Amino acid sequence: MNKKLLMVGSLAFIQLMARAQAKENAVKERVSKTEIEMVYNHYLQDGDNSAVTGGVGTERLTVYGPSFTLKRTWQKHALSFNIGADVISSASTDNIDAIMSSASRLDTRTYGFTTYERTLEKSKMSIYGGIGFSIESDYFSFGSKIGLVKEDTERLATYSAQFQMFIDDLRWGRLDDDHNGPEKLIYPSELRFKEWYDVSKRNSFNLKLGYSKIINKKTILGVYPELTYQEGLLETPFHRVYFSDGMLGVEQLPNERWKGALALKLNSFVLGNLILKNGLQGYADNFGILGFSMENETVIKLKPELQLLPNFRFYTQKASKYFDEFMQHDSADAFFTSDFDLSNFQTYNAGLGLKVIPHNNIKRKSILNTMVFRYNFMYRSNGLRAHIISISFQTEKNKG
Amino acid sequence: MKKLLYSVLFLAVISSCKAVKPYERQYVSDPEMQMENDTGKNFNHYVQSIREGATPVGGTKGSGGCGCN
Repeated sequence: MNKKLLMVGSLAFIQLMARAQAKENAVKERVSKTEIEMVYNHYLQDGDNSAVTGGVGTERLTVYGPSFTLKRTWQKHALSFNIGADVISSASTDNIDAIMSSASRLDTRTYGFTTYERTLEKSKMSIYGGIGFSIESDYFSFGSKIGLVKEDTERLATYSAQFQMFIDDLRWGRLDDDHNGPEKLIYPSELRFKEWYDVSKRNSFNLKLGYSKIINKKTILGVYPELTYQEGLLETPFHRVYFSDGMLGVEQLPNERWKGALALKLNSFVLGNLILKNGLQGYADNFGILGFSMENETVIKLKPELQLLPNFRFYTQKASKYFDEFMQHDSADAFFTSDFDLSNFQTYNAGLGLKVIPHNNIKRKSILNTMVFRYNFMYRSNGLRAHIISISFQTEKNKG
Repeated sequence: MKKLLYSVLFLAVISSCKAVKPYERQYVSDPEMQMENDTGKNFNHYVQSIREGATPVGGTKGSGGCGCN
């Protein structure tokens, strides 16, 4: 009798558990999340080494950059869309043409990217892929990426790999009403009497790897190697070069470029309310550029809903072997550029961020999830100065 | 010799890892401890990728574009 009662009881319990599990699964299936992020970036720059005018002349530039991202997650699936525009007001590109205040003074870059992500619970891995575009008056870029992130809960490590491919076309004409599509490369106005390059397209392939590990209960270490291969038109067609003999031309660079970079990151929680985020990076390429940077951001948690983000970065660069200044190049050389982005310099970048997580959000009463404001000042040892401003609003809605 | 020294140092750091139990992970699980950057930080990387010869690791700019100013 007791055995029968025990058996019936056990069966009832198993059925009850199965129902509860089924109900839980049904709830899980219905759970979805929508995340929205609105961003406005503002960039102001000035300097006296514009590549458009051969390494001399104004680099004054303003960029107004709004963007919008929507991410929808359903249980194991996530789909995100990102669109944005950079409205660029540039004094230096105005000097492509002989007449100032030409149409080239104002340009707009519009871009979009969509990504699908799938979580594989059994293998504790997520895989993703995405495609996108970027269009400006003088270039069109098609981009794609695939990648994976795998967590190893036993070793407390995360592995990631991503492959990106970009196909760029640098011909002008697709956004001009008087032209039907991409027609020609834009050279400086006085150098349009001949074609300076054989190709007008540029292909870029990036392999990004990542490994991060929890070192102890307050420290995470990350190692991030990257390899890039580019081929095609790697010059900017309207960059002038003035030679020592008085001749004038456009910059010439090899049609292939290999880039290698390695970054180390170390995030540490200290004193209960401070997080130190440190990074070191080394870089080398076959243009002869060597770069090294070190940076720190300190997260100061003043309150659960308020954080300060002071940060600095130092970068030093050895010039490309193809770089020389205004009227210093030998016209007999095969490759030359007076683009100061490829010169010897040091960059100092310091700034402050403010992160607000509204208190009501913790009680799920607020529409605003997070607000981040950042201001950085960048100074380059050859005189270039820039103000970098960014403000973002994030919101998140869960449905159960 | 230096490379060897750095490699040994790196391996020593990795091997010195302590097992962190699930209930000890409140610090490493903090959202601010994660390696990803927010949008503002990514915008700084984007600027660096244009104004410097090197490409920042994890930067958002993968394509050419002109970055010509």
